[in-house]
Amino acid sequence: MTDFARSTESGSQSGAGAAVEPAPRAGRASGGRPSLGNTGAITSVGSLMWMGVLWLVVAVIFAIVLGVLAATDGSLDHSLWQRAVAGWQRWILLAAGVTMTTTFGPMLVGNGATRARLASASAVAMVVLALAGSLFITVGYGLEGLAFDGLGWRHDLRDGQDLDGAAGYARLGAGYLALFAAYFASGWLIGIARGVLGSDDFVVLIPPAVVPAAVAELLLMRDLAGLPFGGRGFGWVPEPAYPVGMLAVVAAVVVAALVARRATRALTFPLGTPRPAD
Amino acid sequence: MPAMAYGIDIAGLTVRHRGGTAAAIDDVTFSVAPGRICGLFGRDGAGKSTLLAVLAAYRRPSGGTVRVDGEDPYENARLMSGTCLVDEGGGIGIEASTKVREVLEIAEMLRPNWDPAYAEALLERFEVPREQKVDALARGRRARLAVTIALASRAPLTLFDEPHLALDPPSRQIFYDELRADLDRWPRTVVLAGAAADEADETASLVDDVLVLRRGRLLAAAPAARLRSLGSEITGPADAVAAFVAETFGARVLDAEGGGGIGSGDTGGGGTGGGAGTAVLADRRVGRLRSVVLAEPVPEDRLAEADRAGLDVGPVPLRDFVAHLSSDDQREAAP
Repeated sequence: MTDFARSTESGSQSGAGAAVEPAPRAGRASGGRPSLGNTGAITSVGSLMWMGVLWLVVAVIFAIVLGVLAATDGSLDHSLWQRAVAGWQRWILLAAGVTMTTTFGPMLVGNGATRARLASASAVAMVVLALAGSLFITVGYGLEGLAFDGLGWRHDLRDGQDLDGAAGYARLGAGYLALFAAYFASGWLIGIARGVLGSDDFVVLIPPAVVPAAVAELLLMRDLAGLPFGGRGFGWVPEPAYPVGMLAVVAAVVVAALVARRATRALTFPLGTPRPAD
Repeated sequence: MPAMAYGIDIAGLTVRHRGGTAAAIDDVTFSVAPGRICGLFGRDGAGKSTLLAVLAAYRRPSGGTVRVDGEDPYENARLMSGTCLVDEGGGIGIEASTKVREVLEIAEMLRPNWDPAYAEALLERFEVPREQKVDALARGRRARLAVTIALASRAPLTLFDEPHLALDPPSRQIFYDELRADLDRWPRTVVLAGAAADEADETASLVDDVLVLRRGRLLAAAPAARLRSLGSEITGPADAVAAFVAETFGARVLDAEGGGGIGSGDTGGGGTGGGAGTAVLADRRVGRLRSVVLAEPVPEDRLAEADRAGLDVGPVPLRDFVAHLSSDDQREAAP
């Protein structure tokens, strides 16, 4: 919390509206700057505030369900975390990517940041949120594995694979990191398309915007991560070796970030106002 | 240390919206010197918000040049950081689901000249609760938050897109007092946009320069004092006023019922043509007294006659001039 936050909190204790007297004349400037650190902190922490709450709720519900199963002598032989939690987290990252333009665009540019800085701050958020999401998923698998071991249950994934020790978890974490970054990048591009073209016309740009997510779905550990689409109608697409798939996803994310940075320059604020004609 | 006041130089500025039929801003040229307070007037749709959005680099112009402190503000990190634009909702930077306290924390993180103590004092004066969410604030309170942000940001170019118009009269007076006092300590360039003529009167004591827009075109860009000197207000017994106006400016300036119409002619553009072309900006009666505001100064050699007739001759209220210039009936540009 900033000093200002503390001071305003203490100030609010005294009750608003009590004083009707001139504001002090000897104030001093102590503001910050729209630096990469500050803007990146706003996009990252601002997103984690709602994502963190969501993850906390999900974790609590998951623990309750697992507890009930254990208490009622039920049993599982496949990961519940994979089926109930891990699969849909990508949509959370997609939504977070969209808000980079819809929420943080006006907030940062309205407070003096350039669009280029907005793009950089969004890239920082992409890395931070993908890391956080990957950590959440991987730790969830790990804790579930410990619980299953304690209960004497098998801890297999959907296709019967086992998470092979620390290396397996590291591989899984890296895969989710890339997957989440790809989904975030797609959401980021969708948000920019909507910001630039408006809510009616941006639909035509959705197909190219989802390319990073599609690349991740098709080329990266369809089996291990239990991707919802991979293998369901797309089984004919040969899945490359893990490092190749990872490189392809990273490349797609980097290209998406460069495109996003470029397209961000065309944003007109307030969002939704007509674009200028050239 | 960055410049504390940015100058504005705009030449041939044109903004056309994609798909729009008319230009939102049409070939506008003006300058505002650093440290001036500029009143920007015009009716809804005149182009005020678009002009402010261009100055704040929220949008790119379609044509012309925009210079703020000598440079193009679009994607200019120094200038965008030194420019603050607020409207009655607080501006585009405010996320409605955040608390007032969080809005100020964000401003403090990003605004180089942010003064937290001043912001806190202003919140107290304006009675804005810090822990309330922005979307839970009434319109007037949001406007108070908006002017708090603008004042405490101390941006070298501070743009008000009518937030002060949503303030109740006591809060508006506080705002004017604070603006005047803080500008003494932190000189900066201020643009105060207003829609209606009434605000011109309220801000008359504040503004150094006046810009009047109508349908995207600039009708007047002049120091406020010069605009006032271009006209005259004649007050006195109704019959004496009518006779004096007829003798001085022409018999047809006021009609038979004495109800001169606003916008009935040219504003003079600095000239003193007189005759039937003289515009009547306002014509008011209170009992036997009548006050006529004309877009022409009373010639020096007629002042003694006015005095003999028991008439008061004074400068034009800014409100009347702005109302006339921004009227749809207006045909020609003023100075």
